[in-house]
Amino acid sequence: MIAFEPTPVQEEIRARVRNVARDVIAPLARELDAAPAPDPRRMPEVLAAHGLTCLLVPEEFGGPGYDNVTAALVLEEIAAACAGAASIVAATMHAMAPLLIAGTNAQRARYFPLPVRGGVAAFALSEPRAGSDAGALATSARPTEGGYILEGQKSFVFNAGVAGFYTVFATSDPRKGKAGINAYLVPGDARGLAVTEIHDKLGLRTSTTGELLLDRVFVAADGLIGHPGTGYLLLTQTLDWGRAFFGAIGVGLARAALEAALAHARQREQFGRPIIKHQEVSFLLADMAIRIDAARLLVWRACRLMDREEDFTAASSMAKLFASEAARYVCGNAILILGREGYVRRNAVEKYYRDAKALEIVEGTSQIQRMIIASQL
Amino acid sequence: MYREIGRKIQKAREEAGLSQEELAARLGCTQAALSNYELGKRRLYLSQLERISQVLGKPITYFLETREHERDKPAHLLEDPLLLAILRGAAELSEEERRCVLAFIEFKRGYGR
Repeated sequence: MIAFEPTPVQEEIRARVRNVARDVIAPLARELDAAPAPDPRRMPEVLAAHGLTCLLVPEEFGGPGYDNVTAALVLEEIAAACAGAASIVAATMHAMAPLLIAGTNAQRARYFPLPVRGGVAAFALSEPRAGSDAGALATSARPTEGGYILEGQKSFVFNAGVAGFYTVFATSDPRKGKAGINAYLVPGDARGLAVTEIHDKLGLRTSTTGELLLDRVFVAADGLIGHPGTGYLLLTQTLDWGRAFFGAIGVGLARAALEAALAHARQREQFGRPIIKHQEVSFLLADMAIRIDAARLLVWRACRLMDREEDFTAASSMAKLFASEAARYVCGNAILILGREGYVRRNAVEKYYRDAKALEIVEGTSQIQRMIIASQL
Repeated sequence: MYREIGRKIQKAREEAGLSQEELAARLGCTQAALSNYELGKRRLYLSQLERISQVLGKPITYFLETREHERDKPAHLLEDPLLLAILRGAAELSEEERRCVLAFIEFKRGYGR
């Protein structure tokens, strides 16, 4: 069956989140985005207070246990208010994904309640010399008595510094290449773990991003996720899965920009009539709307494939690639339609545009998405 | 990596005396899907690899510890007639031409990631 509409339950969830996003998240986002040094804890606290950091946590662990389609609907609503806030949620979902795929019951019982209790988590993969090439990790995990010693550096980690735990990818044996990579659970207060916050990002300023330094961090043996040697499969599966959610963020962001552009085009008059009555503007708005709808359908298709446990790799990359490029296109044209009003810091579309650029970089650049899609043809 | 895992699946399947159709039926997937796994064209998710390792009676590490693992002891590579032919052909090329061949191989490996 092809479903183009959310179910009544999903509609209910969406309406609830839409209200929270409009009334609570959007005003806070404007405040944090304008601050020279925004407090990185405030947005996670607000998201957690409304139960929005634990979307995929199963009901048995206190979460709502949403399926992937519902999670995408929620992320779109959050992103329509603030893409940075949505990236906080998505990063937590990424940290949880390896546990959902291969975690033991004991690991799940220990870590799943964290976002339910109001925390967020982080997914630590990229390194100074390993970004798109995830197989070239240098962070090491040396076996020791009772566990592992992790040593290395992680770059551009979302939620770094505010995370209750980190899912860290490291290699236990560089000679094994990708087969030497494993995923480890590192508590946020682990000894030897240091975070340097990255200041002055172009966009996503309501979320925090940082560098992670692991200086002989001890991880107990039960902190290893999955069978030894399966870390590379875990990380590719998590990234393949997570791309659709960054697509959902792109859809929400683009939707907000279109709504702002539409409102302006209906109200602003030039040459004796609202500018939306001029074909040059209305056609631009039509192209923006088409891309948003197409992106949303790609996101829903990818999430539905995930829910049905079917092959979703290409579908997820297509959703992320199309939605992030659509977001940049829509946000850019929203500024064009608003003209000088859109080009100043106090206007929301200016923030949307800065946030949109990040979506083309995180979770694999557009070039990486095309490589993945081409490899699946 | 997926190509290497695919080759291992094919090898283990052939050792078990199973056709693609037979193994696909046991896994509950289509023959086309299994063929794509073996060719490395479709990414295997962990639960699927676990199922394959169970059906074929191999530990999961058998599929993961690929030739990449054996990069520092390449003698076994010469057992493959095609690789041997490539090496013999490359031996007759100039150093610059060999570098071109190597660049192409690196490009192909990067593309398949």
